[in-house]
Amino acid sequence: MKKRWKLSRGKRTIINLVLSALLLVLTWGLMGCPLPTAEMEFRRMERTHLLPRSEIQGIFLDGCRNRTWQTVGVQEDRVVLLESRNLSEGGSIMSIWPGRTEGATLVPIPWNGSEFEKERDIVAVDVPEGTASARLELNMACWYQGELWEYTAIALRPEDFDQLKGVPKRWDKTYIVEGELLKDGGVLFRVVSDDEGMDVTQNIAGVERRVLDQAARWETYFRGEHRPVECHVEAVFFDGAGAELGRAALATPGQG
Amino acid sequence: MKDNLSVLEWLDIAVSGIRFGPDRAAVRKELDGHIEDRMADLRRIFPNIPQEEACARALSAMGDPEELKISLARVHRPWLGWLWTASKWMRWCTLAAFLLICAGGNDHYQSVGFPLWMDWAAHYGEPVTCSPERAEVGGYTFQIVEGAYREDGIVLTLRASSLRFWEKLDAEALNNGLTAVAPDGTRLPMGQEIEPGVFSTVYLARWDLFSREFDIYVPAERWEPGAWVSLELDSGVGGFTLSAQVTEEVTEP
Repeated sequence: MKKRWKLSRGKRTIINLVLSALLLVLTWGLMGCPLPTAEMEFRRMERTHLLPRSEIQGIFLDGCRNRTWQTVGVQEDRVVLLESRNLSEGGSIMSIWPGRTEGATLVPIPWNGSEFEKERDIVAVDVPEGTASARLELNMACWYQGELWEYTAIALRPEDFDQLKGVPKRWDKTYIVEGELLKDGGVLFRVVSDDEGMDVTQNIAGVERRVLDQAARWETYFRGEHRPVECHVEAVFFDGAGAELGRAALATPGQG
Repeated sequence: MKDNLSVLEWLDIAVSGIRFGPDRAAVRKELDGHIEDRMADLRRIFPNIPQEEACARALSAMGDPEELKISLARVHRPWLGWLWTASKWMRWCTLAAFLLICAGGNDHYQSVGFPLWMDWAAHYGEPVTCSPERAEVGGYTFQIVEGAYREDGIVLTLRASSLRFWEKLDAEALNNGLTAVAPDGTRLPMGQEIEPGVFSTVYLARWDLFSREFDIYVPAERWEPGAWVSLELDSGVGGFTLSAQVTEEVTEP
């Protein structure tokens, strides 16, 4: 009787391992080739966007409900940000803040699509050497029409509203936030809304969250008269003894 | 029963040095077969031999179980057995994961989330033959692979390829740094408004494992077969200029 041909155990093991490696690579490719760390994802995005290598100054979890990793890097004339998202959420998003000022630069973490978020983050890069603490003051002002807890319109001027629907009211609030020193040199400021009067089931966000949402939208700082709010941000950096080392500011046009 | 216990005890001692379970079971079975064969031979030669004596003689002929234990342990190393078992599990698990990912899509072999290859744009024209030139920037190889005149403009297809299949070029890299130069010398940076509400842009047309192809529309009211059109890239990691002669006209039905 002819002996049944059979591969040795060693050869069968090698074949299994090669097959497994091939299947793993294909599966990884079908999932969008996810990388294990936010920094690796940031470096990959630099290469796929043909950008020069950045100096990373911060990697942190933002304050949104989904808790997304944000990476901030600086280049010669701009600040590069990466929001690391799963493929099911549309994949990672790279944003480029077009300015890099002399001294520290303030950059709002870009708007993620929802005005229901309670927290908005602002990051400072190129902070003065020796910074041991920092404080941020964010002032936001606008006009709104309707009750605080209802769906309200917000606008820059009272004359922008339909006066027949009610008298517009003034909204003016200043937030003071202590900064978190990031491992790579940047400073993170988390601005948290006090507004608890939102109703997700009816898709209504209170005035405060909607106003604060504007602070995270980059067009707020570049648009002219069509923006709905006035916004002025200033950060102060201190050394270990509490002496001021420097300041940085960001404002809507006309605020200075 | 006592004889069987003796055989069982002998086998237990002899195979106890083999640490890999399946090997231990297989060797035990083989040794048991040898012992049975010896006992059967003894019964054939000495038909009246008592069972106990046949068993004892067979075990005696097999040798000292402690010495056999040492020899078998030296021959049957466990690591290859464990590696083989692990590789079998790995093969089935990775196959299951792959099929699960594929089943999550609307295509037999690819996930709808990130197909490994896709061709969803029309092909305009034959591959250009007068410009096989390529450029290397940022680890990618660029080449104009197709071009044709269509309606009031030229459509070029630019291929960016790289062995790094996990880092396919993003269209934004071209939208931010690419300039098309029309046959009459007009320069058209990507992202520019060419007519109200219409912007020049780069479209991802198709891709496979190692490359992506982008369609670029260049307005060109006057065109003659053989006209030259160029693509210039200026990026943070380098640049190139690629030119091609467009000889074909495509007419929409």
